[in-house]
Amino acid sequence: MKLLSRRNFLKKGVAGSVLASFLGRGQSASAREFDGYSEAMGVLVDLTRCVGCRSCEAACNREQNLPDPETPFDDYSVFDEERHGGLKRRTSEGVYTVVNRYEVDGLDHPLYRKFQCNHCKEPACLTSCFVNAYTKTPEGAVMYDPSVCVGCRTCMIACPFYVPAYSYSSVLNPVVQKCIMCYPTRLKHGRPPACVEACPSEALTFGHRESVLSFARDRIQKHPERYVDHIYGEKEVGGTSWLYLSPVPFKEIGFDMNVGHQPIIDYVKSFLATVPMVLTIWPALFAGFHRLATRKDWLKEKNAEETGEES
Amino acid sequence: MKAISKFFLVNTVAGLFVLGAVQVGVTDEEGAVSEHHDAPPGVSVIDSMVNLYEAVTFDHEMHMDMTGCSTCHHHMSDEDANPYCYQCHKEWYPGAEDKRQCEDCHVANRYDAAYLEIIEHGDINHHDHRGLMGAFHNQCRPCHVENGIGGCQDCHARTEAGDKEFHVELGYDKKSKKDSGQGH
Repeated sequence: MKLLSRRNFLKKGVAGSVLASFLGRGQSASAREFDGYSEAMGVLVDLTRCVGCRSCEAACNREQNLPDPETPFDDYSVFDEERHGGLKRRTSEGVYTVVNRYEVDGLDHPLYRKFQCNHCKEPACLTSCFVNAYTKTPEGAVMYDPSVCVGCRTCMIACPFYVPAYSYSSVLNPVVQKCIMCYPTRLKHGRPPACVEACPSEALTFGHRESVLSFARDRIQKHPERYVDHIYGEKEVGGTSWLYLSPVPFKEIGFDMNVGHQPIIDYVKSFLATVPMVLTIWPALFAGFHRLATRKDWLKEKNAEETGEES
Repeated sequence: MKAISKFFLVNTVAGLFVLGAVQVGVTDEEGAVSEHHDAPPGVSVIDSMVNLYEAVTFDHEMHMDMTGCSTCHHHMSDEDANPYCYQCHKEWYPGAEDKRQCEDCHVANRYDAAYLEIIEHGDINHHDHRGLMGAFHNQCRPCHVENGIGGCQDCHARTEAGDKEFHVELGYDKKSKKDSGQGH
């Protein structure tokens, strides 16, 4: 009687786990789609207009109270700098935005590309953070809360644009640092980020993401000879708040064309949905199999014990 | 319709504001702004960035002699009319240069909340309209680059505040350190 009930228990357990695995799959398939906040703001960077004056870098430094730069912002020799592997300058602790120069075949002048956090609609840094240190505000800025950060730096690996930087220079309280779109001082009050206002060429256009996206489409339509028919950031990694227009294919000026059109979290969603199932059901299931497989031995042992006791 | 009338209202107010600012900023040495386009205004002073850069004196006549009117004053004749503007603003043509100033189309207060509202939610042809500083730089700079005077400070002498903004002092520090380093 005892054995039978155990068998029944195992049978039910297996049936239950199969059922649960199907239910689990159903849940992951209908995972919530997030298409970004409708009121999110954005900035359109028109690379045909940027002249590489670095005024945006200077304005960012002032607005965010960042430490002094290594060289003055009117030192244009930084454009010749090459990092390990021939890489251009990038964001770091104390530098939230950089402008890099690109020489392109067939163009008689160099192109300048401003680089900063692109403020993704569904940011990989945010979704990778297990203490929820990141927030995507309805205005579009991706904010970081250093008070809860544990310093794991997963966000730095998760970011498809390699934007977040870590203040390694701080021994006691290192934090992640990146562009916050001037959220507390400007964006929150409906004003454009400091870099946008500082740009003398109006290479940066501020407005609702949907609006600046339509400006970008409009510019391409009115001047097809001036732009390639691609708005970088419209679809890349599920869409970003910062969008780019270029006169040459984006891959020629250092843009990563392999980031895909899905938010980074989509690549791991189906995997993550199976994790709870694996963690809860597999131990019970395999413990059950083990029990079944070793039942005869166990019975023998038990019998032996009982006969031993009797004798 | 409501959006258009709202645009004109705001634009008129903005225009008055700009004109007021321009009268402070742009002084004509010959006195009144000339009535006829054959006689351009003399020397104008552009001082919208005085916090970072000294005011720029713009010699109208010199530029006119060098390159003529239409190089800078675009979309002023019937032939050169911007098709998107021309749809509604036919009254500006021909001879529009008599009536139009740069800041009538390209506003100086590009980042004011009211104007941000207009370029986003106003009439579709006023979407994404370039402000005065952007228009000046995009219109003037290509020629200046060709003539080898395309650097920021070729036109704009930086003020002390400007030097601070660009952290110029660091350059001097580095240079002097370098120099002293070489001395050893």
